[in-house]
Amino acid sequence: MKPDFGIEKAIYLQIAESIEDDILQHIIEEEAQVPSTNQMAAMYRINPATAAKGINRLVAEGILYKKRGIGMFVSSGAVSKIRSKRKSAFYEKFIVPLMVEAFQLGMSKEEVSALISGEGEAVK
Amino acid sequence: MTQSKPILETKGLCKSFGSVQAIQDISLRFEAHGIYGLLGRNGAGKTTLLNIISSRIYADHGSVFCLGKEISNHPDVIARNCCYMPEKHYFPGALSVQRLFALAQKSFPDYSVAAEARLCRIFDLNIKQKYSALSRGYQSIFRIVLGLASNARITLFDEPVLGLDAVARDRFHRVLIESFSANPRLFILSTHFIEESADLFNEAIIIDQGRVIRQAPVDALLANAFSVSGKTARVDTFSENYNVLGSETLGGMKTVVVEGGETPAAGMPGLKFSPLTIQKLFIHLTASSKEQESQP
Repeated sequence: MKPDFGIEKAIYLQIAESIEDDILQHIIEEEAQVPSTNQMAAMYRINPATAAKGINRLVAEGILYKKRGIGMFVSSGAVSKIRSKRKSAFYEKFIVPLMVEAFQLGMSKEEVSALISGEGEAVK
Repeated sequence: MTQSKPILETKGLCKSFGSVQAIQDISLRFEAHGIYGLLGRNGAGKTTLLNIISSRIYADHGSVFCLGKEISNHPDVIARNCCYMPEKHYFPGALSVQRLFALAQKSFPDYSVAAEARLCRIFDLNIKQKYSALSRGYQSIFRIVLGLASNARITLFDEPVLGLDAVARDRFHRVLIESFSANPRLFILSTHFIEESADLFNEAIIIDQGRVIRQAPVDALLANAFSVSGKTARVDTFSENYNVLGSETLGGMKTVVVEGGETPAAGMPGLKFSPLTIQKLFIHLTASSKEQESQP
């Protein structure tokens, strides 16, 4: 079934991220084959060029690699590559919006930390 | 897309019907392998353009080149390479679907009987029926099956999903992509289902009042437009540097839709930025200024 793509970012980035999610969750293992560009395009009802752009991005980052005449495979070490890439984006993507909302609500850093560490139930 | 030699090119096409200027100065290039979405409001000139490209009618001015040949001097080039599935049918209604497919097979050298049979199964099209007995939706399905099975190098669909339910539209999108992947060729399709079909396109062509106002990949159009809201004075200052497509005020707050740059990555205090859907952008580009006032 076609997932609902969000409008926050380009479809090819969402394709790349959904493959990364599958790798992180071990739905696709390292050294396993990923669906072809054409299979992905048909499954998601998107232009094959868009699917290719998403896959090529992962190839450029060394997360996928091409076996000539066979298809695309997940590189060994892809999981740790994706983890370190996403960790470096974690602050901007999750902590900043978290603190913006906390600021709007008049919450202190300490209150937020307490919630994260599980000691902040009383705040609710 | 790369600037390789186009398979199809229009130069300065103009066409009037009486006092109505249907299209004006339309110059477009189409690559040999691509799915192009032709978007425009009713009466924008989409069908007129497709009718001219397919040699169904002639332009008052301008030319169409197919494989480098001017089509009014080389009608055979279009006849051999172009399959046009217009919204208004001209098929003899007394003939069965099966008979019409057999005629199509003679017209298109790369016609695939296997694809025809497979598509009939997918869409549950009864080939024994007379064309005139088909419902609106099944007439659309008939055109889809024929257009895809033709394997023509240039396939034009005018409103292919008219009258189709959501399941059939979704199936069309799937089989279109499958057919294009298996045999890359040129598709031009007009549609009012903008949001649903936008992801299929290599490029969107937006026509308004007979003129091409945008031709670009959908991603590129969306990366270049966004909406911004905040206090009126703040929003007005910000939007001075952009092409403002529409605006709306509510109390002291204002929301404007702008084009001409990417959303500022760092954000700005007091301003809220939001991305647009292609449909929203289309509405802002093509609603006339009088209608725009009531357009949120």
